[in-house]
Amino acid sequence: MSIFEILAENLRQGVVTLRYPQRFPPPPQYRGLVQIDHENCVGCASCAQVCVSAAIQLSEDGKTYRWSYEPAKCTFCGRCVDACPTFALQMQADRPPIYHRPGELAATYTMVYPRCEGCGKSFKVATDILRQRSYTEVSPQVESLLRLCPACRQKEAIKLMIEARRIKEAAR
Amino acid sequence: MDAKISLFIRLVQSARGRSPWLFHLNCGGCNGCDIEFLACLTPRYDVEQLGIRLEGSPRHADILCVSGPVTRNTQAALQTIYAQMPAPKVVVAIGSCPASGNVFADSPSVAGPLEKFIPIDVYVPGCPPRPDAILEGIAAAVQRLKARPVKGKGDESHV
Amino acid sequence: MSSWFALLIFPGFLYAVPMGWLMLWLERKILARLQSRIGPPFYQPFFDFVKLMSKEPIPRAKGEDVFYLLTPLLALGATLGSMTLLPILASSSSAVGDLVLFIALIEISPIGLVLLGFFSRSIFGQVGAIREATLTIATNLPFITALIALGYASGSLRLSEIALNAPSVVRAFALLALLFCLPIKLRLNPFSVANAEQEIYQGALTELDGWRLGLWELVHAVEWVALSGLIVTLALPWRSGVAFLDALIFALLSLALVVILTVVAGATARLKLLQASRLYWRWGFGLALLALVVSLFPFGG
Repeated sequence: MSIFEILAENLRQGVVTLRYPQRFPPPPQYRGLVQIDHENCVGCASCAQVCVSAAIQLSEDGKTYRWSYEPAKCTFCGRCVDACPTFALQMQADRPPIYHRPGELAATYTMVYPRCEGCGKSFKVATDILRQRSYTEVSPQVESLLRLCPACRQKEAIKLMIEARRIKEAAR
Repeated sequence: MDAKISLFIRLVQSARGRSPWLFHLNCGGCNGCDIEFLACLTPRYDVEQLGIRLEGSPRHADILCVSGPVTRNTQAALQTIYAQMPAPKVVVAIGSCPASGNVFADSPSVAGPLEKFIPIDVYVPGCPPRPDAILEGIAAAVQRLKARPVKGKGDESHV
Repeated sequence: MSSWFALLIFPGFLYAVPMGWLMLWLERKILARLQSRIGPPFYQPFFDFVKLMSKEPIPRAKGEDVFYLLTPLLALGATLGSMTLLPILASSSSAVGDLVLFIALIEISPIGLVLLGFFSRSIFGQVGAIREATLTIATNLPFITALIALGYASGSLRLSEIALNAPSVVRAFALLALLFCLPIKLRLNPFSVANAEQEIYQGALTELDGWRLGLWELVHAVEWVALSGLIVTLALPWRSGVAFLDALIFALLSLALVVILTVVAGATARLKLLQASRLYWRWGFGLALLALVVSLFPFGG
């Protein structure tokens, strides 16, 4: 096709421009901002481990852990979403918004550890989703054990074991 | 007299908003954002509907679109070009590289994120951002350009 | 009195500047529509000019600003002056030899651009100036030859007599040659080598900013009107005598010429400097030479 035929075709076809601010929405699998579901995060730091640009960082002191996400560093690769074992991360299916000040889009999530019902120290608790994965049904006894820190849980479990054996011996 | 001055200021600000000229600078980036930026000049997205023209010389431009982390090689060029642009001017940082360096952040050849060198008005996040996101960023920068004070005519309150 | 009117009102400043802006807009709009884009709104060149004049320019070395102010003003005055020589109306006054004066005045603008390019002391400005100078030489050869042919064939050097009395065969060839010269003079594709945006950072205009560039854009707009006006006035062999009608026909035909030039510009890519020069030295000059040869034979009016 000669150039003049192309131009005539363009004229016949008309304008194809999207008038601003009209736009095509991105496809549903579009990788936008990373969003965290608080209830499912267990603080395993897999996302921080695999993040290629250190956009996700996880820091722990003894009493809290802090998940922070800086979209200015994010390369929107989706490795964190793939690596999360509890599906706590997902990517928004639309483009990230523009912003004017550095750090404006940063998101953090802080989880405060509960205190042990036995000794009162802070400890990292297993979230509901981990409990459901580990135990097929969560009995009240398991529930009470899970509210103790590992050291107290060990002591309590030994007590329960000794109690159970005593009952078995007595039944014979 | 005041009415005439404020009419003049409104005319100038309207003109600045309707005719922003662009200069594109790649400070050592991977060209992903540049390709998406060039898509903005294509018929589908057409920045010229906003009156924007891509200019060849920084002295003609009002908007500076920067992509790429600022490498040591391009640092001097960036500062020269920014100094050559006459005021009023705005800067748009396209992609995550100028905002933070992205995956290149601690590399020995990267001199730092863009905010170390020039003041930035709009950040367009993405790697690379979609052309309509870049267009939105440029339109927001044009609004900022309109709001710049008109020097020498007394009324600085139009910021 | 009437020459002041011609310089300032019609077809001078008050007509040429808005018309030039209209032509600039028309060029951009047609290019956009040929590429299936929207293109800028019609007030775009006016706001471009206001914006450029309102920028805060970077201070230059002492004495440079005088040059940056005088050169475009001189070019503007010369181009407006050349417009007053065009025989648009039946009553347009013309003097003997105003063809020569027209050629002289219309050349001041490209010379000014070349000077600016060299004066800006940047390598891009120099390259742009060299390209502009080469192309101006290449285009002036057929341009002047075609005008000589027209002058000889109509037996006079007055533009008004040439417009009315030139024989049609000579007129056809000469106008084709003049039309061929126009894309270089207006820096349009396929001959926009001198202000190649991405290759040499806009060439001669690289170092101009703010009002310095604004004045040059104004000169460019008036150049459009003057050059298209030349072709239109030399193409029409009659004048109706009604001033308004003549002016209207002149304006409309100028716009039609802009459409033709823009369609050609939209359909072609930029040629290299050597290709462009050769094209003009061979084919452009060949066409003008043909007009000159034909003008040697005495044809009837």
